[in-house]
Amino acid sequence: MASKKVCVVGAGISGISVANDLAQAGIDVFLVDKNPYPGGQSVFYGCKAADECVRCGVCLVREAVATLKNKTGAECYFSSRPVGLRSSNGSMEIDIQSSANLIDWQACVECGRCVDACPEQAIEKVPGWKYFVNEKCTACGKCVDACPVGAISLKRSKEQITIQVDGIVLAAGYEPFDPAINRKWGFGTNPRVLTGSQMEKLFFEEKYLPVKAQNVAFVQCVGSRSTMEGEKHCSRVCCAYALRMSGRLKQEYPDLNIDLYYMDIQRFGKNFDQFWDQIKGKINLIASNPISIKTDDRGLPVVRYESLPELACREQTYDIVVLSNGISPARDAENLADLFNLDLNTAGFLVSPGNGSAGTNPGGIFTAGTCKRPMRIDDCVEDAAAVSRQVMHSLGVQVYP
Amino acid sequence: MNSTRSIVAVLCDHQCSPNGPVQASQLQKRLSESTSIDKLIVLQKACQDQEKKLKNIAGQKVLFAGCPYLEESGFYTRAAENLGLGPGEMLVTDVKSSIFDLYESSETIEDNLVGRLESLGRLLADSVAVKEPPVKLKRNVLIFGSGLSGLKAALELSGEKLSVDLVETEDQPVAPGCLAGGLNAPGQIEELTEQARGSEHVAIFPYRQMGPIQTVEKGFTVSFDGAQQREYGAVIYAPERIEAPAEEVGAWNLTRLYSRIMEGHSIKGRIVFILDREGETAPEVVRDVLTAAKAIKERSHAEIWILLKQVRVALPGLQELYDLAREMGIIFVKYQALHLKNDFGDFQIDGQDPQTGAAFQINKPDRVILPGRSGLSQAAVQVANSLGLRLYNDTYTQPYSLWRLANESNHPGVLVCGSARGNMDASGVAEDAASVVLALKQRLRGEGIIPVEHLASVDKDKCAYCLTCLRVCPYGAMVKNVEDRVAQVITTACQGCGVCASECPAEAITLRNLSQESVLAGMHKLLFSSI
Amino acid sequence: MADSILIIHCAEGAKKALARMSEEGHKLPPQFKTFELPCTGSVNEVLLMENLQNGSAGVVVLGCQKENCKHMDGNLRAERKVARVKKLLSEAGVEGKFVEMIFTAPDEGKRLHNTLLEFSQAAEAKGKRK
Repeated sequence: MASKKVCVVGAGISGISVANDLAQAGIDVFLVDKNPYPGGQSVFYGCKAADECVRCGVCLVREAVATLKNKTGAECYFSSRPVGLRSSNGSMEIDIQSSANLIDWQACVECGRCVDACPEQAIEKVPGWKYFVNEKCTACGKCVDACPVGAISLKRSKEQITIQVDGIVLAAGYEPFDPAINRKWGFGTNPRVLTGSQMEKLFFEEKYLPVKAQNVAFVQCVGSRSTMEGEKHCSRVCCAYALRMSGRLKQEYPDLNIDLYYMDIQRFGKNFDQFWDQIKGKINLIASNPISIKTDDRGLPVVRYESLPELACREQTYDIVVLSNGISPARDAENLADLFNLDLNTAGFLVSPGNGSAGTNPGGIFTAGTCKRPMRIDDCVEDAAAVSRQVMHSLGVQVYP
Repeated sequence: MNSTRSIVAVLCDHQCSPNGPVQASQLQKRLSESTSIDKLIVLQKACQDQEKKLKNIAGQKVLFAGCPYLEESGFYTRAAENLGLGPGEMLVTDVKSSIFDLYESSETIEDNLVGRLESLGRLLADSVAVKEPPVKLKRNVLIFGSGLSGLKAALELSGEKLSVDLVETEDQPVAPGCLAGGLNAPGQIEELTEQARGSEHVAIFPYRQMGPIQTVEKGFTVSFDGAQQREYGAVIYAPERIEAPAEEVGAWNLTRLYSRIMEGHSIKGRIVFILDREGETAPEVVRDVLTAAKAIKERSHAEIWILLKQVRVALPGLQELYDLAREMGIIFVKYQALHLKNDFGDFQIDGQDPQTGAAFQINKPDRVILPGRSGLSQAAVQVANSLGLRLYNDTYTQPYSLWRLANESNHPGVLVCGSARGNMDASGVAEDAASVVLALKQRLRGEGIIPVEHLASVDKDKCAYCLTCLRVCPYGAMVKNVEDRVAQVITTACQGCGVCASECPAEAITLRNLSQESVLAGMHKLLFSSI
Repeated sequence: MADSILIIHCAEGAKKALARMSEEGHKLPPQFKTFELPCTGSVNEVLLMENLQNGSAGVVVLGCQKENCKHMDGNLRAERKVARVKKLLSEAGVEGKFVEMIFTAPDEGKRLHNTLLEFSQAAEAKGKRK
């Protein structure tokens, strides 16, 4: 009997985990992602271990990507998007619009010669994966000559492919909330005001802070739990990453002063009580959601907030302010919902079809990961395992043949 | 000591090395004086299917050295197949990221490369070929715990045609954080129990009949009521966490409250929930509390207060529940400090607002609900200890390490499912049961389990039966051999970490192909071969 | 080499950390040599002492971050053994040799590199003082 085919749309941690699980069960997997590489957003996050591993999950993403590279054998379409869907004879046909990747990942032997040859620093490495070409490329062709196995070609052709599949898993991910929407946060006007996503990149590069600093503020619930300037829901990940980042910063710079502005602190992880006891003593917790962040004449960000014990407005100047921005639905959530005939819930996330998360789905379309609700990396991995199982169940693939 | 097979080093000197290729002739010269390597073959661009060139080195042990891509692309696997090599007859080492890219000058690179090849050649010389057949495990699974987690897992597995023995514990099926059997899905536990009883693949035993679980070569054995030992390939640890009684006399814990609601009693008067008194309440528990509060409000005109330190909203749908609760007139108060005066069940609550510091007081509540500490029952802790499972404060199984799947424990073949792993609500448990089925496949796969290359083995003459190795093995892979009075390794459980070998006071344990002498000799070669 | 420093590392997180370190372009001074074991838990005092006795300047045991050992607590065991050997060395008045335990996460190339460089510089300084 021919093996079943499943298309996984989105190659972030959720998509990759599902692809790895399904391929292990003998299912043919087609993995589609709009980036020229797998890993989504979290592959460029940084480790936040201080004295102990805090289980942020970032290294798990690299592992998943490495498994995809070495073991899984999925057919990967990068720089690609789904553009059409039809049902036919009980199965589905999905149209993928694919731009050719400049670096053929299957031929690449990771020697790194192209990186050295490129004059624009246009070739980057994805941890656990191979190289990809970013927007700085000027098509000079030096990398093509430098590659010893001929894995690079400058042809930028687009093509449309149709694949016949028995199931589809949407793991389209999320859009980080952009605080530039509201000037009150001072984002975009002051380079010392960063988002959590930008901090992750600094952690990835092991730089940790953009400039030398004595005072750092973390502002929670930026774009979350708000009806006016963002999303209504809690984004679940921000308390976790802000506290873990604070822990790591305090280890790297013991004299750094960290103030954390919060509404409520959400629990995360199993050792939360231990972690919380430790971190509470190292940072200042201010139970107030700032009113605004302005810039003083030295260019430093000033946080204005209501200090409730005194029932007065206070201002505090910092060297750096980190806005813990939250998780918003994927940018193309509406298009995906249209294309795959799914609903969006009131928050704008894709609604997983079937009754509840563990229900079967005769339609053959499943959702995984942050495209359905905010999730941390460990949540994504667990969710992916459950979704894989549902997919196998609905396709009649036995786990134990 | 074993065969005097010669050792061939196969080095790929591809242009990958940024400092230019290592001088093959130079290398040949240095290694011609080596005592560990007999012959050196240098391949150019091994990744371009060069394994066919290696046909004439059959019958020898091979040390492969090249870049990580060679391992990932399967070059070594294909070469090993062509040459008929198995573990113990070959070693693979990455020289790109650990030598070519790690050192500066080409002299340093050459020195380190020679040292590495000699060192591993020495190890390989002492290695024995591993020819152990895989051990097939029985596709029977023992599930400890008959709450929602155990039942779901049992039904999933029986759906896959695996035989399941389910051990019924006397725990309350309703645990904090999991109102599965109650308000959210009335009758679900009963329905699932019916299904389980009706399934031909599931057999149910009461816990009191269960004898101790023994780890054996083929998995685990248990006898019920002294009858014949039943064999299992894997065990699923799925007890529900239960709630301790409320700390204050006269207060109810959540379990008590839920039972009363489910039994149909209407609860009236002034009802005060006090959360976050002992540590931070999990959002799943908060969801149950809100559901219970709503249920109470729907049946009577109770005045409900919910006192908490932090508002937990990080679960989908929880924010909406709060809003709904507020609309129904449930009063939420945040507190920073709380004093509970208890006069034989007559309470008075004095609290302090966290933001203004203002004091508030709640007098004579008719009912105070204090969630108790949730943890594993005595029976569950006992079973966990007998399996050597790592627990955190007897409240849940300890998150092990990120490198292992969420359901795995420190015992190969024992998977943890459900609220024993951490706070979970009903849909979370259903998902967990589904992922446990996938996770079990590793263990119960058709080919059987191949013992690891660095398997521990006990020298019976040296073993003093002190049983230190049993205590230190992270995997429970050591058992007592009572007849011979020695410790014995379970080859299907040993993961080759080597802790037993390093902790044994009698130095009676060695790892296969990684003995202390070989390792020391290898290190010596590594450090001093370039002199 | 008489002033070589042996890095005994585990096959899990520590190996990945070293790979990440080289991937990011951090180079090590030539006296470092690496030897792989399945888990740092299999390191024992004899292994450490023998290597120090036969002439190397120091031994670094590189294990996974705490709470992240694949074999549960091998890295903590290694820490204890390293501490014991350190104590023995100082009680015996041995100078110019060192043994250290480093916990590393697989993504901390730069931090690992800095720590290793610190050790080698300290060792050099001690060596010059003799």
